[in-house]
Amino acid sequence: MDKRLKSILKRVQRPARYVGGEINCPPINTEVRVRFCLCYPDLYEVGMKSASLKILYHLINDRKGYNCERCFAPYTDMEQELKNAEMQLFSLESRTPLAGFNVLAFCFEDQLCYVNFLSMLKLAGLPLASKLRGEDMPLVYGFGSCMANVEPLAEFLDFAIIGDIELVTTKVIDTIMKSRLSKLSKAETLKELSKVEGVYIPSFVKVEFKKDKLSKLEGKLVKRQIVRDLDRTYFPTKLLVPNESTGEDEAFVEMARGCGRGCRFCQMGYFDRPVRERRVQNLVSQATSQIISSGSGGLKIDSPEPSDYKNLDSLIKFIDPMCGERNSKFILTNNRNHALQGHIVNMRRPHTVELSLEAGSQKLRDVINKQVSYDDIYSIFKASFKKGVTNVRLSFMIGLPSETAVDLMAICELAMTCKELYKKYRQTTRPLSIVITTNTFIPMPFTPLQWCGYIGQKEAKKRQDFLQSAFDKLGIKYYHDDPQLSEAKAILARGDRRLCRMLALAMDKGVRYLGGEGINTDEYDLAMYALGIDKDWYTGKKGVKDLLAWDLIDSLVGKEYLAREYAKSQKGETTLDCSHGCSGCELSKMGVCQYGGH
Amino acid sequence: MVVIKYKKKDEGIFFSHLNVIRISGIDVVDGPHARKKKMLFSGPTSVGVESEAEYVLLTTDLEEHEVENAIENNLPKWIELVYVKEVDKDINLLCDCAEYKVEFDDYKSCKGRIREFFSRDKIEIDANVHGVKQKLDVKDRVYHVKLGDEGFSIVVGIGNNSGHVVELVKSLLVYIKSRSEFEIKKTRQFLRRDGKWVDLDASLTMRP
Repeated sequence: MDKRLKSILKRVQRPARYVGGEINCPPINTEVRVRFCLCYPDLYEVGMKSASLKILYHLINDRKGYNCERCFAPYTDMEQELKNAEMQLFSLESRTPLAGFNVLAFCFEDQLCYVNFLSMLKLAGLPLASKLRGEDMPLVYGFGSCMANVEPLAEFLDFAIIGDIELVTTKVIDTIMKSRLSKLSKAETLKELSKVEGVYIPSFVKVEFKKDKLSKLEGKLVKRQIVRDLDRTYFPTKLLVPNESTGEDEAFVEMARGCGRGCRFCQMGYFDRPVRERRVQNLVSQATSQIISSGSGGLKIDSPEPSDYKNLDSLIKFIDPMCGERNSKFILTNNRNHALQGHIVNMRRPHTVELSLEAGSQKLRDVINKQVSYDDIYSIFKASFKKGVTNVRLSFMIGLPSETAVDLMAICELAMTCKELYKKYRQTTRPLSIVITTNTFIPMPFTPLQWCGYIGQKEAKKRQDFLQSAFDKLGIKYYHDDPQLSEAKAILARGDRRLCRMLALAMDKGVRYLGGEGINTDEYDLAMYALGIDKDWYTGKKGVKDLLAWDLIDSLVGKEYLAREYAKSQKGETTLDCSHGCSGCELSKMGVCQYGGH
Repeated sequence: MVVIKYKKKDEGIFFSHLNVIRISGIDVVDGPHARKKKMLFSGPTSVGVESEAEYVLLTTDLEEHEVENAIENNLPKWIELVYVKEVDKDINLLCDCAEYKVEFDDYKSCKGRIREFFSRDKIEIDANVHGVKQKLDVKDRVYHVKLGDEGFSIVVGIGNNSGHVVELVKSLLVYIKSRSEFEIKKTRQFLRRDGKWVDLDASLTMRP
């Protein structure tokens, strides 16, 4: 190891973040034609949890002639040390400066990390604007859930991948390889890439604004690409064992993609449709190889909604003894739904019941199409307390459309009822612990509530204070998100390319979002003020006929369908879960949805 | 019950003892949650310090070779397993002190000043004790100093009687006005038995 780097690492927190060389790390051949660096604009321990990163890293490295390394955002102490030593940000595997790669692929899973992305480019010594990056500099592209709206990063990214990464990435890397072999220029390579389905090239999109409003958006409509059969897609046999604990270090398999429940606030519920499942047999064999290769004591079975998996009982029947033989335990992620609590109480915390109810009142739950009734909730409480559960964690959203003080009070009433039921059905003398968490509702692209407004920082704070004082009186622990951060996220989620300047300024002023911690976030407001950006316009309500910054992306669900759902939400009408009857989104006509037409 | 000894070198110095355990899978050889209930570390070395003598006491029903098999393929290349040894239940693995080798560039020209530093009545360092920064006199925790050709070796207290070796060396460098980068390597750990120091390795072989 370079002496200078060793000396830096001795001074920073958690240096294992920056050394690489994890178990199951493939040998890296730097003598290849196309060198990729997979970048995650957040800390190592956050990035190493990302399923997309886990899959893509091995997918590229398993292909002959390609090489893929990794780079994560450094924490502020490391960033300062790199600046002081005038060193460039480097990859973990070969410690090559990022500027020495041919392609930098950034995974965006949180809008707040956009500033980290810019700081990584700056630390790599690369110009932020894509048009300023020369022929000898890497192509920079984005993928991940945030790419549902590429426009806030339009000036920085050369292109973005829309949809399932396995499918598009293989085509993209082959196109880049061909372009390099033919010695094409960057502009010519982008032209070639524009022919690949699922590739969005911001510089090819013409945008005009009139009186703050987006008035013109011209370019090729990019269809979201979906893997139709998960069993036939690539999944790595070995995963890296992180150097620093991520809190979720278990081996990992992906049970399903997409969710058909149709919660109207949830981007994944619409942008990841249709529901696709892996077969039990495949999952068991993948799980076995993952546990053996990682020596892990746990197995994480990832899915947006485990209770919806058709063969859940049979999967558990196979997985449970397999894990038992290897001293492992298995965990179903997102196991926070009422449907599961009947037979599987949280595997990670057996004395805890976790429910994501999102709204306290039935009226609001109907607005967001969260199909849980009071009876459902109470019966879970009763069953859980009879099983000896002593901890209850409930999560809600505040600031949902049409929310009033009555809806907020309903959250408190629910907590009180929970306490009463515990007194009646408790199995132990231990007191009940209730933890309530609220997040502020953020309208996300490609959801039926994308046209709604965000309540604003002040109002969010007011509602949080109201709940805080109520829960203090009830002796209930209450946690909430930072209103300043949720506002920034609301602006960026539905933002357009005018925000690029704001992001660059905020990054220069030291705004970062690392490991869930916002740093210098006040500067967001100051940057917007300095650039004359009207944040109320970004957070405000939109008209259904308004042009939206993400209108050049086809999510396959259909804007008309979303508008219909939006109208239903305003009337408080619900839509059945896809498995109970097709509600007629565009996917049903494409023949790719297992529930289509039923 | 087994004792696991391992070495940390190169990039391995940046791994905390808990990370080494997690990565190696030692914590699961005897079932989930074993780490919390059944593990004991003897004076784990600070992050950034090389070590040839890291010890973990693991309560398990497994045989030596079974533990060895379970972990040997799961260690990063910078962590080297030295041995897994079965030990008596009443073994005292909480060592009193450890030996470190310290090297820095201008060591040779500073030998006199180093002697002077360690012969003072008080050796004050800036230590972080349970998250609180404070001045600490570690004179009585520095048991032995031997100046060699390329560097010096030092025996200081560990555990509750810690001599905070990294801070001690930093304090030394300030005293001798050196701005060199330094390297510290832990070489051995000692137990106190019948008024004598016994090398922990030797102590483990002395069992009946």
